[in-house]
This record gives sequence, C-alpha cells and structure tokens, in this order.
Amino acid sequence: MPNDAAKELFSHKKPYDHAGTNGLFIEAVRENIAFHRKHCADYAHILKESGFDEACLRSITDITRIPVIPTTFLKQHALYSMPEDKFVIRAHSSGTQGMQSRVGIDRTSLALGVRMVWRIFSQNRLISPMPTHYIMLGYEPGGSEDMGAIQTAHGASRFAPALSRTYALQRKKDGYEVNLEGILGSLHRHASGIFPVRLLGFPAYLSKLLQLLEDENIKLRLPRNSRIVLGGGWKQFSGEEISHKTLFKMVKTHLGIEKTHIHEFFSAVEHPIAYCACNEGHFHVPIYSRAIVRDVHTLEPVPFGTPGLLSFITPMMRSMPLVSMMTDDIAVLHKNCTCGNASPYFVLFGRARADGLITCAQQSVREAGKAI
Amino acid sequence: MDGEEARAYLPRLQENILQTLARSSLEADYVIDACDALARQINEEEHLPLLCALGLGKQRAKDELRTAKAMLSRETLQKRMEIELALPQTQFTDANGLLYTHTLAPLGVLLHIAAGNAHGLPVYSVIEGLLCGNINLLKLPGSGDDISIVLIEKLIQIAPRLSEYIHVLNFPSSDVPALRELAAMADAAVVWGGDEAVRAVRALADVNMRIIEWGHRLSFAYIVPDMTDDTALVSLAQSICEADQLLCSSCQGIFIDTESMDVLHAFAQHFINILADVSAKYPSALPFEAHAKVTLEQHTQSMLSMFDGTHIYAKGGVSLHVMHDTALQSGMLMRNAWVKRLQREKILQTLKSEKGYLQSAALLCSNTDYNELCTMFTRTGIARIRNAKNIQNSYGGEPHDGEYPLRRYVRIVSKEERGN
Repeated sequence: MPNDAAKELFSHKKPYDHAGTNGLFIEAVRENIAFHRKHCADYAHILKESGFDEACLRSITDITRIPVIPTTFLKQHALYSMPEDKFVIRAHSSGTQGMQSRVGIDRTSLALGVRMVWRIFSQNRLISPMPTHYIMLGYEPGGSEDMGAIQTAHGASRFAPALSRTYALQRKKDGYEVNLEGILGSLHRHASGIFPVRLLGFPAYLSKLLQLLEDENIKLRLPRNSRIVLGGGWKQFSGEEISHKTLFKMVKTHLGIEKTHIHEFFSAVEHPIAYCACNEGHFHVPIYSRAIVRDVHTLEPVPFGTPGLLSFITPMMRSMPLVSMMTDDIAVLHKNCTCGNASPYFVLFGRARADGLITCAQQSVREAGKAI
Repeated sequence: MDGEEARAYLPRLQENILQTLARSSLEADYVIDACDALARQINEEEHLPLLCALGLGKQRAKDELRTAKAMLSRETLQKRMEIELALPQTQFTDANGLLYTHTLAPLGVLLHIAAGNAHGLPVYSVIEGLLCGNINLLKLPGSGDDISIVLIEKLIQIAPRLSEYIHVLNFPSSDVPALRELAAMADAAVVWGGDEAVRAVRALADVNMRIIEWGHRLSFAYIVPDMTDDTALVSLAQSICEADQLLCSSCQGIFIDTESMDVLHAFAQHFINILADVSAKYPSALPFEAHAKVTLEQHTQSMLSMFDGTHIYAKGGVSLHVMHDTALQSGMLMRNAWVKRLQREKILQTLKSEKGYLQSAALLCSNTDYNELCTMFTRTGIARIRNAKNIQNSYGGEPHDGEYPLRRYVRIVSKEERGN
C-alpha cells in the first residue's frame, strides 16, 4: 500500500536511528515522490524538466539528486497535491503579502507528524501530565490561518495540560500590543505556586524578558520542572542575538531554570519536521528527514564541516510536494556530537542575503571622486 | 544624539539654528580647508576596518577610501564649485536702467536623510551642504552609520566652527512626529535611498519644503544585433562583472533592437559564454552570504521559468534571463542580467513610463546608429550615454543623475542696487 513505508518510518521506536532506517527512508521518499508526481501536475513538470525519476533512488546518497525546490520558489508558485479543502491545518510563513509560503497539511500527514512530535518531545521529557502555567513569548492566536510559528507554539502548549496562558503580544483591534506587565505579573504569581511554568516562544523575546529582569534586578525561582521551549530563531532580531552561554546563565539567575530544562527547536513552515537541540545546543537530524548542505555556487552537496545552503528531504507530507526543500539558511553539517546522539547535526550561520551591498553611495563617490 | 535625548533637544535646536543664521556665515574656503585636512587624515589603518565591518571586501574598501581622499581634496572641491556654481552673468540692467546684481546664498538649512544601506554617504551629502554655506541636520539611518559619525567628528575636530553647522540626530524612522518637527526646521530635505525612503520623506515634508531626492535609478545596455562585435560584448561583460552590477550606473539588463525572440535566444546563447569567461577572470569580492543569495535566486528563477516560458541561460555562476516583455526592471544583480526586446521605434513609448528612474544607457551599435540612438534616449529622460566599456566610469565635472548637486543647495539672490 502506498505510504506504508512512511507509516513504518514514523512508528520506528528510535527517532535518531539513521543506520537502522536508511532503507525505509529511501522507500518512503520514493513512494512520496511517485504520489506527488501523480497528483501535482506542476511537480511532475519540474521532475520532467529536471530529468529526474525516483527509480534511480537506491542508496541513501542518491537522495541528493532529487530536484530541490527553494522556499523562495514556493512563495511565488504554490504546489498542491490535493484540493485545499482536504487541509486540516493551514499556515503561512513570515514575509510580506504576496511573498509568503501558504502551506497546508492533510489528515494523513498530520498523523505522521503527531507521532514524530510525540516521540521527540517524549525523549526530551516535554510530555507531562502536570498542569502547567504557560508564558507565551510570542503572538496571541487569532484567525484560522495564523503564521506557522503561532500555531506551533500553541500546539506545543498542549504537551502538558495548560492551566493558563499569558501572551507577550496580545491581539488588539488593529494589531498586537506588548504585554510586559502581564508577563511579569504572571511570573511573580506562578513563582510562588506549585505548578510548573513553561516559557514558550522566540529566543529574541526571552532575551528581552531576561534583560528586563536584569535591569529591574528581579531574581525568581520558578517551581520544579519548569521549562523553557524556544523556537523560530532570531529572525529580524539577528543583530541582537546573544550566545547560548549567556542565555543559559541569565535564565538560571533570573528564573532559576537549569540548562537541562531549556529546549530549543528548529522547524520551517515548508519543512515541518521538529529538530530539537541537544545538550550541546546542536540540532540533530531525526530519522524522518535528512539534511543536505549545498555549495553556494553549484548547489552540489558539500562534505561535513563545510558551510553552504541548508536543504532538507522528508517523505512526511502528502498535501504538497515538499520532499526536497531548500531554505535560505546557511549552515554546516557535523557528526560525532559529544552529547552521545550519533545522528548528524547542523549548526546555523545566518542567512543568504545581499542587502547592505547595494548603495548609491558607491556611485556618487565614484562620480565625484575621480581626480579632475 | 540619540532617541529620547534627541527628541528633547529639538526645541533648542531650532533656537540654535536661528542664532547661527543670524550671527554667522560659513565661507567655502573654510570648509574646503577642513575637507582637505580630513582627506589627508583618512588612512587605511583606522578606517579600513570600519568599512570591512560593513561587509565590504578588502579591495573594495580600499578603493572607497582612496576615492574618499580624492573627493575631499582641495583640488576636487574647488573645481566642483567653479563648475557647478558658475554664474555666467551677475550684473543686469532692466529697461529703466536700474542695476541688479546676483549672488549665491545658501538655501539655509538642509535635512539629510539616508536609507539604511547608504553607509558613508551622509558625510558627502553634509559636505556638499557645507560648501554651499548651509546648516546641515543629519538624521542617521536606523541601522546606524559608524563611518559617517567618525568622519564628521574628525571634521569638527579639524574645524570647530563647523559644529554650529552640523547637527547629527539619531531617532527611529518610525518617530514621525519628531521627524516632522525636524523637517519643519529645514528649507530642503536631501534624500538618499529607494522609493520607500523618498515616499516617506515626501509624506513628512510640508508643501513649502523643497525635496532633493537622489533615489533609485536603473541603467541598461542597448544592443543593435549584427552591428556589435565581440570586443564590445567583452567590454559589456567586463562592466557587468567589475562592480557586480551594484552601482546605479551598472547595466541591470540588455535590450536588443529586434522583434524576434529567436534573435534574443541566439544573442543569449552567444553572450553567456563571453560573460562566463570574463567572470572567471574577475574573482568576486562578494561575501559568502551574497553568493548564497544569488545562487538561490538563480535557482528559483530557473524553476519559475519552467512555467512562465522565459528561459535562463546559466554558466559559471552568471546568468542571462531571456524574457518576453519589454519593460525596464531591476535585476538580480551580481552578474545576472535580463535580456529583452526593444525595437528602436518603441524606445520612447516604452521608457517614458520609467521617468525619474532612468540613469545610464550603454550603446553597442555602429557609429552611424550612435548619434541617432543618443537622440532617442535623450528624449526618454536618460542622464548618461556611454559605450559598453565606460558605463560605470566617471570623470571630474560630471553631473549626478543629470544635475549639479551644489546648484540645488543654493539660492540665487537678485538685489536691486542703490545709488541708481
């Protein structure tokens, strides 16, 4: 039956066992590509123009030959393999109107995703029956189609039953309003309570909160088993990024949470696999996907330790042909992490960008500067 | 002066400006002396790291410093004043025999606003304002501009009287009320940046405020097929690779004088080899992330062209995008050019709609065609016409986007003479 390999893959007990699942992965990817070839005419066209046939996928290294679709392409030309009414969840990426990826997931793919998240969250002790207070370091959800990040954060606030949720950015009539007093109030109240507290959201917002606590010299001891779950990267705040070391230190000082209880995730709307950071802060690749770093000139895969454009392969999605996607992140792949997890991991190094180079200054300086 | 402090200072700033206008005047020679001294103080050891920190490659940063030294030298500045502020006649008589004289006076107060990526540019803008005797208010770009601050501070150290004539303020572009207050103190706004920056300043400015915009400009090559030999094409390839198409005067794309898509494809198939060969000889000084961005864009365009009927010819990291339409547009930069049809009879009607954005055209054609095409392009509003090789080069005395900047920063005052 089609999709059997994927089901088996997502049910495998060890989420980082690459060696034990390579064959299964290739099979699942082959099935996934065949499915999309059949149901998405545009994807079939891309495969044809690229001269690719999934029959060539025999060993795990062959997967690098699958035509890779940049997220920038998807933002301008959506690809769907089923009618949109079959989507149970819809999300869009960040970006200006008209330059967003609009992604949807169907029931079958969602079932696989839930299995994946359950296994990874369990492994990281994030599933708990303890009622928990949530401090959401992000946006209050609103419509039926929110940014992926909003939906993910909300979903993540269900892995321990929620007693309350306080939002850093509350939804108002004409936009969002920062709710710092609300956050501080909740923190003070819950600190003296018995239920654990979880802070969920963007690292940049956590950083701002910690800065505020430092400025006000506030030192809290949040209840046992309180945790922090971070995701979404630094985005537009990348200029203010602080080191893990500093972040962990400030969290310990001002919230009383140890670094073993701080969890960072990486994911993308167009590649909704959960990458969890290990104790060393590295994002290990689970069995549900493979990460390929590509040469910035040729897009050919580069060896471990070499920086390049980050791309991923996954057989998880049936709603859209997101089998092989290329982000605009620059990263390096490594193996032999000291945390003990044998699967490879990637480290992010920023984004592909060219702004800051373009300047009329160059022109006027050249014009006026030639010796007369 | 930053944020809160800057905002609180605004009322006193207005007072200071009025006092300066009432009591002092700024002689051009004082400014020229100061700039010349500054030019001699610019050195690689101190200033190269500042430019490199902005992402400029070492070679490019060195070129920028060398150019800065030349631009600020006494010789250059004096020549500019002679050429740009020339008044051929300064004495006039009217029908009744009354005598009038013309003198140049500063506009008064200039507000300089530069977009985020215009590093170092504000210094030149302020200096142009000073040369004409103006008081200069500089609103820094949101992302900061260390090199401008360093150079302005040095300038004031060299010539302390200039501190009355330069005020640097730093509050966010989102602080519209503060910006409006600042704008109200100025006679003119000098804007450097893209459409967004210009639009923002127009919204800020009241009806009685002059706006001098040095905004977004596009340049291109125009080729008459069969009348162009490979030498000219190699020159064009060189100019595309030399500055990675980053200047306003860089060719973003190529128009071919033809109606036929076949001719376009034939041209692209031929030129891609020339462009790739030349590119290999010009190793790029672009940062890693920029290469990643170009490759990503090329790949995206290639994939899009599987659906929109356009075609990308790519080789050795460069590309030519053969398109169906005839509109002028920005390019992908970094050695990627669009290729479109534009028959000479349609030049005026096609390019007139790009008014305000046209800057330079590189003509690759026969000598006979050159003058005819020059006339046509002149009528569209273009400011610079060149051969393929020189499109990005400049010379002393050249106008900026079709104007003499210093001319825009002065008034010509007409005075009736007594004793008539």
